[in-house]
Order: sequence, then C-alpha cells, then structure tokens
Amino acid sequence: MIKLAIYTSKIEAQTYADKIHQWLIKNRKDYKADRWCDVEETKDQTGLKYYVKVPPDYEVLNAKIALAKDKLTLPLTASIVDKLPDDWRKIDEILKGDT
Amino acid sequence: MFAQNAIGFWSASASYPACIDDGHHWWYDATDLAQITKDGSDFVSSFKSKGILTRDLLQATGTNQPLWVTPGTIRFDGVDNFLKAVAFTWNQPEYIYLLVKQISHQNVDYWFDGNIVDRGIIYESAAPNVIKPYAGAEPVSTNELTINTWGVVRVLFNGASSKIIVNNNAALTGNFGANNMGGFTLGRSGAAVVGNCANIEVKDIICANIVDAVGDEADIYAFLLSRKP
Repeated sequence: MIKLAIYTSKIEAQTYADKIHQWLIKNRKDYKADRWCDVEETKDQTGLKYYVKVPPDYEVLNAKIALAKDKLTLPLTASIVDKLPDDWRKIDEILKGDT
Repeated sequence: MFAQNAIGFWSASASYPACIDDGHHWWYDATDLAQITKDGSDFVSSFKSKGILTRDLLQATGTNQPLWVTPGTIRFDGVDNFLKAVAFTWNQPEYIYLLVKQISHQNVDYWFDGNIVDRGIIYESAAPNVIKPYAGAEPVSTNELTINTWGVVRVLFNGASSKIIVNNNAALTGNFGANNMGGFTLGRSGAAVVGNCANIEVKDIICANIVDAVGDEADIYAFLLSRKP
C-alpha cells in the first residue's frame, strides 16, 4: 500500500518530506538518495493540496517517531503521481501529517 | 570469463554471448550485485551496465527508486519508480532485448524510453495485455506476453526495418518511426510526464547500437531464455 500525508501548506509538506529523508538516513542501512521525494500537488474543490509519499518501511522500522496522524491509503497501483482518485475524499477527510 | 581446468590450463568458458563484449552492446544484469547499488531495504539507486560501453541507470530520489527482489530482479511499482541514464548518443538502429514480466497493465504506461519522451518506447495500450513499440509511428501491437509471466521481448528500432518479437513468436515488422533514443529511461517515459510509470519487473536487459547478426540475435535470445526465472 502506498501511504500519503496530505497538506494544505507546501512548506509543511516539504518539511515532512525532509523529515522522512533525515529519518531514512538515520534508520535505513545504506540509504542512498539525495532527497526522499518531490512534493506533489493536486487541486480539488477546496484548493491545492500537497502530498508526500511515505516509504513502505517507515512504519515497520519506526517504532518511536510519531507517524502522520491522518494518512490516505491507496492501492499500490494507484497513479498518485498523476492525480488522486476521484473518490479519495470518501476514504477520509482532509488529512494532515505530523510535522 | 575464464575457468581453470583440472590440469592447470585456462580455458575460455563464455557465460554470456560473446557479442556483448564487442563494443556495440551493453547489458543490465539484475542478478549481479556488483552492478547494483541498493540500500538496506533493497531500493536501487544505481544499476550499472556491463560491457565496454558505460550506460549506468541512476535514481537519486528515494521514492522513485525501484525494488531489488531476491534472487535477482528489479521491480518497478507502476506508481513513480524509474531509472535513467545520463544522456548519451544512441541513434537508430537501436536493439533492445528484455527479460521482463508485466505485473499489471495500464494504458499509456511506458516500459522504457529514450532520454526524452517518445524517443523509442514500448508502452501499454488501452486494450488488455497489449503492448506497442513506438519511435514516431506504431504500425504493430502484440498481446503475446501474458500478464504476470516472464518472457523475452526484443525490439529493433530501425526505421522501415523495425521489428518486435515476443518470445519465439513471429516478428512483427514495420516502420516504427525515425526518432533516436539519445539515452535510456527504464520504467517510465523519458520526460517527467506524470502517470506513465509501468508496473514491470526485469531481470536482464541487453541493448545494442547495431542490427545484430542472425547468429548473435539467436545467441542473445537463447541466453535470456536460459535465465528465465
């Protein structure tokens, strides 16, 4: 499953992406990446939303750091780089990750 | 490669087709961990080529890195995974052999491309199970590779003399266009076009900048067939 943390603030989303990157440097052996991800954006009827993907091992390895309290869960094959699914609001309400 | 025999002489024992070392081919081998840089969760940041030519595939963004899978394949998640080489000169003829599995099928997902979009691709079309080659034109398509099944797919981009062959089926020929690849992107289109990442898994990819002789083509196909998972 792909998990996303959704923000209304691009700065907060970038902060969360940077936090994941730092966490991976510390916790995933031999992690080699310049950055975890680029913040993606999508627009719905309430305006722009910014989302950050959560690495699949984040929860498995992360027993101590608080997880994003609200996360959107999508099937693995969802084209989240393109847009969120039409019914994504049915899954949960507007979400915000921890910062 | 060479192996020492029982009485101490060295004898050649080719473990791969000799043409790979001819300076016109390069080979991505997912079973060779010396060629792969991956982290502790097996996400791949570098997939180096074998052969005289250096055409390494790279991915510096964590979430875009594909997953290396035991005992030696690389899986692209179909969401945002891809690897990309630094641009290099690669003009037609371009010959690409893949030992590949299409895990799932989605319209306009690209298995590979050149350095920018639509330079030389195999992509998934809307019809179930159908893939198409394209380098400016798409006169043929095929559904001969079953979903979730390993197979050898070879495509030659060579203007009016292009062809695609799935396993040992008949070649589908035509003019696939005149675009030159100018690089290699694996798992996605060559440009940052959203939604084009393919859900595939690869074990070997052998590329060439020539039209292979019949014997060399047969050798490569037999070699890839022997490595089918």
